[in-house]
Amino acid sequence: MWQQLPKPHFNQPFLLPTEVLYPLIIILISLFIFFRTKELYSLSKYKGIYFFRQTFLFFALAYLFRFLPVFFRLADFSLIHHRIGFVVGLYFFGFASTMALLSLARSLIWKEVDTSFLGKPYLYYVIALLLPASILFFSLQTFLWTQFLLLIIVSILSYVYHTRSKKRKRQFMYYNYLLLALVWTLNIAAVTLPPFRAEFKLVLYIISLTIFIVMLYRVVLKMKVR
Amino acid sequence: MKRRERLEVIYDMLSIIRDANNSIKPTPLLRYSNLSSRSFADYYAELLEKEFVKEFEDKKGKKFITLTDKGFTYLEKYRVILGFIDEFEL
Repeated sequence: MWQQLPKPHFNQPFLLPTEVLYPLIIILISLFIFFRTKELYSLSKYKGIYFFRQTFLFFALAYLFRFLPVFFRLADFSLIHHRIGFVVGLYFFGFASTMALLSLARSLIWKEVDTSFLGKPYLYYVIALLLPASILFFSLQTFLWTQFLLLIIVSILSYVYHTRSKKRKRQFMYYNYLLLALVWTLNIAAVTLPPFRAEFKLVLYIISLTIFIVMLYRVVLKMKVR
Repeated sequence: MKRRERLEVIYDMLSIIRDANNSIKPTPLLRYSNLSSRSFADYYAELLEKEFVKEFEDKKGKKFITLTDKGFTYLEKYRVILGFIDEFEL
């Protein structure tokens, strides 16, 4: 695994601040959404709101843990504790990432699967604990492929259950969620694969930020008491 | 019953209490809530557990139900909750 790891390149002056600011903004937005919706869940105990909040909590954690692999990769990688720190950081990053994708899926399909096996909470925690282990036993690329596979499964499941739903009113949020999941998976690729072209990363980051800002805007708008 | 309808039943029950000058006996509440005895018992237990309502006794020892601050907040935020669920298709 160590030989596969590229050292992050910050050969353009804007890249390093971007790599710090971008996840920081996402973390702040995600945590704001999580805490802003606390009262709604506290009053209603509505599962959909629970999974919605969980999604953004795990996105915040995933973007937070995203710092660790980058940090340790920049450090002296010959030191064993830096390598261990890198792997541990990557594992937690993987766990939070997987939980974010799974929570997003659950927020869409929970009503359809609540009483079935797919409604069991332990299933998702087991998947989230096992998938990142592929980093330890296989390779980073294997983990990335598991995330893409998860994205495909989530997309198919969400589409099947979403189209079945009698109360489906608008497609906008459904595609917004899928875009969120897709962009996040590409974010993982940006961290784990050999350096993306800076231009591609920048476009990816702008799209990600746009999606999160749109979500934030809609949350704030809907939270206003009329 | 799906969760969203459950939210509506809770809202209706709390509204009944509020509209009765925030003090109502259990039997009228059962009657006005349009629920079976069993369903009413379940919902009433939930209202107490979530501290949306509380019980008190008057000087004659008769039990009354009244809203708590949390119950009033639920009434106030109910439309927001529904709007949020609809907006994000949860």
